[in-house]
Amino acid sequence: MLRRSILQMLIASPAFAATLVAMPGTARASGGGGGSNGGNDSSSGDNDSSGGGSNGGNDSSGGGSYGGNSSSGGTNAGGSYGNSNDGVYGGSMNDGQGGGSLPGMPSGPESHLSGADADDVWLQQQSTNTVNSTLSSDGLQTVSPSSLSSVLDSFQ
Amino acid sequence: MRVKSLAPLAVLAVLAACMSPVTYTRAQSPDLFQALDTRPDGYVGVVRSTGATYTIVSTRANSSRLCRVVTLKAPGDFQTESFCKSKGGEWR
Repeated sequence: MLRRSILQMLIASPAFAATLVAMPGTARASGGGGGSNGGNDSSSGDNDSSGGGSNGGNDSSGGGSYGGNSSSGGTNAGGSYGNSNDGVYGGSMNDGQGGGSLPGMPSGPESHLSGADADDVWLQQQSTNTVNSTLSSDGLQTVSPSSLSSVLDSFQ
Repeated sequence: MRVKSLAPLAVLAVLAACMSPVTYTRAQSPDLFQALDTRPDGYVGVVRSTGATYTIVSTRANSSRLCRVVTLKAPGDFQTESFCKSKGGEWR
């Protein structure tokens, strides 16, 4: 009886679930809270660097910056941001967690590597690219260094 | 006997807790959130509460949402986290 109770507690715990999804070869796709923008897949991983996204060809580190003339506003006003799902990469990288759907409380995508994968530079870069790509897909444009300060101030 | 049979489960639970991504809050990591508020892309710092090294990788925004992509490194752990906020709101 005691054993059954402990087993039930363990299985029900988030930490146990985290272990399951973190096991090698079980990279998962998860909605993480049910974002409404739908998932997307950046399995090719070849068109987005940490310096800037390239979705639609209008966003790069050198241009397309957010400086007050963005035309993408208004699409996410509801505060329901979806997360991308990416189960392409092996190992223990989990993408798409942390989805937020509460108005006024936007949270973004995240990716997590553990164990030996955490030291793999290529996986680290892919992890970062995936998060950047997801934000780009959500319509967020790269903020240029010159306008960063004013943008940060405007969101205070 | 009973204790011995539960030992593997206890180990599993501890491992699971260690492998879970860390969630950061301003209360726990004020230095990190201060950097999100003010520092440029490329800024590197250390989260005092965890010892993890973080780097602000990039910043993205539209008219209603601002996000900063941050990598956090600790031994055996690598997280890419996007902290986002709405105007007047808090990083989430």
